[in-house]
Amino acid sequence: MVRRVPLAQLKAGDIGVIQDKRLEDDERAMLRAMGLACNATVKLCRVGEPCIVSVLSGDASQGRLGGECCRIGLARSLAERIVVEVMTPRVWS
Amino acid sequence: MQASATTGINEGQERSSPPARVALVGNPNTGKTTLFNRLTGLRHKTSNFPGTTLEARLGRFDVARRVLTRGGGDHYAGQEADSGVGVAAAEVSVGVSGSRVIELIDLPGIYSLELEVLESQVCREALSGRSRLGEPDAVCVVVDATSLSRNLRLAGEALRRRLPTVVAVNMIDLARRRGLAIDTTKLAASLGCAVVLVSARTGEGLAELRAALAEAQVASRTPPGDDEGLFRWADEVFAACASGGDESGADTLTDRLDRAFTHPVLGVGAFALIMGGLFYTIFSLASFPMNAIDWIFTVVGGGIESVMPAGLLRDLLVQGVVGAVGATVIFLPQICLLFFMISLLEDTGYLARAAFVMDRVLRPFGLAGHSFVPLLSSHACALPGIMSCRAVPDPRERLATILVAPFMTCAARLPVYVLLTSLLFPGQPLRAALAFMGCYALGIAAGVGSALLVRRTILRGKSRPMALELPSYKLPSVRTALVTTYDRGLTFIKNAGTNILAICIVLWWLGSFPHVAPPTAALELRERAALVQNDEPAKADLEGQADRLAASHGKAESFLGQIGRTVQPVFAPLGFDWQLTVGVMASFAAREVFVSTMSVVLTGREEAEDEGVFAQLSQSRRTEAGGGAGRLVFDQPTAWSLLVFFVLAMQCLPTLVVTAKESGNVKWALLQLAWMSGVAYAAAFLAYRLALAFGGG
Repeated sequence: MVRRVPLAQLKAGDIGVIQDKRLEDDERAMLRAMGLACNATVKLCRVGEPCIVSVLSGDASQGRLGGECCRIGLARSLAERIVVEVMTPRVWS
Repeated sequence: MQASATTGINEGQERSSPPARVALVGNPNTGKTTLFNRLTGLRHKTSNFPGTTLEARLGRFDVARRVLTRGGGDHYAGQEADSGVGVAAAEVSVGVSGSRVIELIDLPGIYSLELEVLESQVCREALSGRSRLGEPDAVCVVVDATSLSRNLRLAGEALRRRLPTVVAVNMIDLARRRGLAIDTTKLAASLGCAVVLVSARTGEGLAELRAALAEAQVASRTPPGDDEGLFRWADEVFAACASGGDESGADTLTDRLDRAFTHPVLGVGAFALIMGGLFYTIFSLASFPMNAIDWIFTVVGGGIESVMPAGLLRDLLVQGVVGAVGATVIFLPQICLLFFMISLLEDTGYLARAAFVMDRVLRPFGLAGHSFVPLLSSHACALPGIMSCRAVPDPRERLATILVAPFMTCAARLPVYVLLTSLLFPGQPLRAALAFMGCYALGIAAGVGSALLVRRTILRGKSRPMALELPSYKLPSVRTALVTTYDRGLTFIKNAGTNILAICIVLWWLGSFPHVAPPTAALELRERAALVQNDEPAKADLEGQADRLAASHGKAESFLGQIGRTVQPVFAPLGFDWQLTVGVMASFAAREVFVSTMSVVLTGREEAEDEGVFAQLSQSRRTEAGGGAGRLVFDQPTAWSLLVFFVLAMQCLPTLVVTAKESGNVKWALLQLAWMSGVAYAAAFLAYRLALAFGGG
């Protein structure tokens, strides 16, 4: 079952694929350039303020995950406006 | 590679040809600046991009000659086989001239050339030749080997510009430790340009990079022109050329450190400990070179006095020039140590985490987490504090930090605090210490309160929620820290030093002229000294008294003294007489002169730390009817008023100079002066009235 939640609601260790970012244009452009583009795979490292995510290389939807590409700290107010599709282990194992 | 020329690229080039210019671009945290420092050493200069406060660093390095032969491999003079250079199949007919000197321009770190932020705009202008630096002959894109897929997007944007390009894959040592492998030949073929694996930290690949930059060519391929296409292209290139690395991004040590350093309690504790250690180190280490500088300039001044005849030129040299240069150079140890330590700390990756911790504290006041280090630095000296505001990304938050940084109690205020708290609480060290702490708290409160006001009025605007890349934790590079320290020290000497020199000479002149005849009382003392026979101590004492009277009279009758008398009615509501006004006026240029100026005006001696002098200061009386003749100069209400005034007033012309420079407009410095003077005046007035009302004086 596909579960889409705000990034801020993931638990530490959860992996998700960014679907949508309900952000201002300039915020969206900056985060995209930093690595948080739509369809990017992220792992939540720290919940709360700040929300720390690890952007992973590879493609979780194809079952291929690589190492950490970069690590980004986000204010919670930003993390609450980024929607991710949660990847359950069976999808990419 | 198809070599198409038998002649060397460097042949026929005059050494006097202008150097080829190469622009260095890359994401933040790719080690671009470290690479720049390694390539250029100390052969660089720093200025600002026109119309901005963004730094432009230009440096030069030499490139060894290269010889090409037709039909065979390329021979690189002095180069070893398996150098790690992958060169795309391309004609060697178009590229950078074979100049032996290459000029490198370090552009700001950016995530994309297409963003509407100042850094990206500056980079766009630089690459298109619209900046005063002119169009570069080539581009070197620095990418992080451990973050290649994201970095390739910027590389693609740079390649689209169709300038001769070389891609430097930096941090290759770190990538190998993580098990990442990069196929250089495939990467070069995919990008259509030269690719060099380097490690700016260890020096690996630098010679090959220099050689590649000297022969940079326009890429044989052009990445897609639309964003979606570019992102897909970058992912495909990465997938084809890189392999290995941890699966699922597991890095438990980094995760644990991040959780600790950003924890609401542990994080603040760690921050307090680390910053406390940093500033304790700076204060304790800086005192040695500062004392040495003080000694050196005292010796130099004494030397000049002993060899030159008395007169205007000697006074100008000793009190004006030597004094001024000493007053500039004395700041250097603190500035250099501060930037050295902060560079080390930043290189470890810790400061990015600390910015989030402090963001929670400062955000309610319209400031950013990044503002904390400049504000904390300003407790030593506002000059380096304001210079370090460049690290604050948001321009409004940066400007607000610059404007309020001088409210933080700096080291120059301490002698004034010591004098006044000793006068207010003689023999009561606990109360004096509490008053001291109160001064620090008042400065901080005024600073954050002013920041809040400024961010709600003239610098109104939404604060950007923080989004910051957290670089990998690593051991800091001492070499990078040393180069940064050298840069900052030189910038300070060039920018502030010349202004401080001018200010000190003007101050000296105002306090020394016009020369007036010694007062009658001093002449009588000299006559009495001349009559003393066989009693050298008594003779010396009389002559000393005469000298002190003459010095005090001279200061009072100087232009500075006259200004003090003229301006005194303005400060009368704060309880200041004309003598205090002279001290306050003198200290508008530099706070630290207040104590010595008051000492000279009231006692004729400069050594205020001397117990006898201190006793004289505390017992000095006012002399004019308007100031309450006979009252103590430093009565209780006046001492409180002075203390509050010095906590809040802008009394440092060098700081104003740096504010104007760093903010990009002198109007901000004038606003800073006006606001702080107004706040100091109002608060000192209130303190004076309250002290009078509660029975002081």
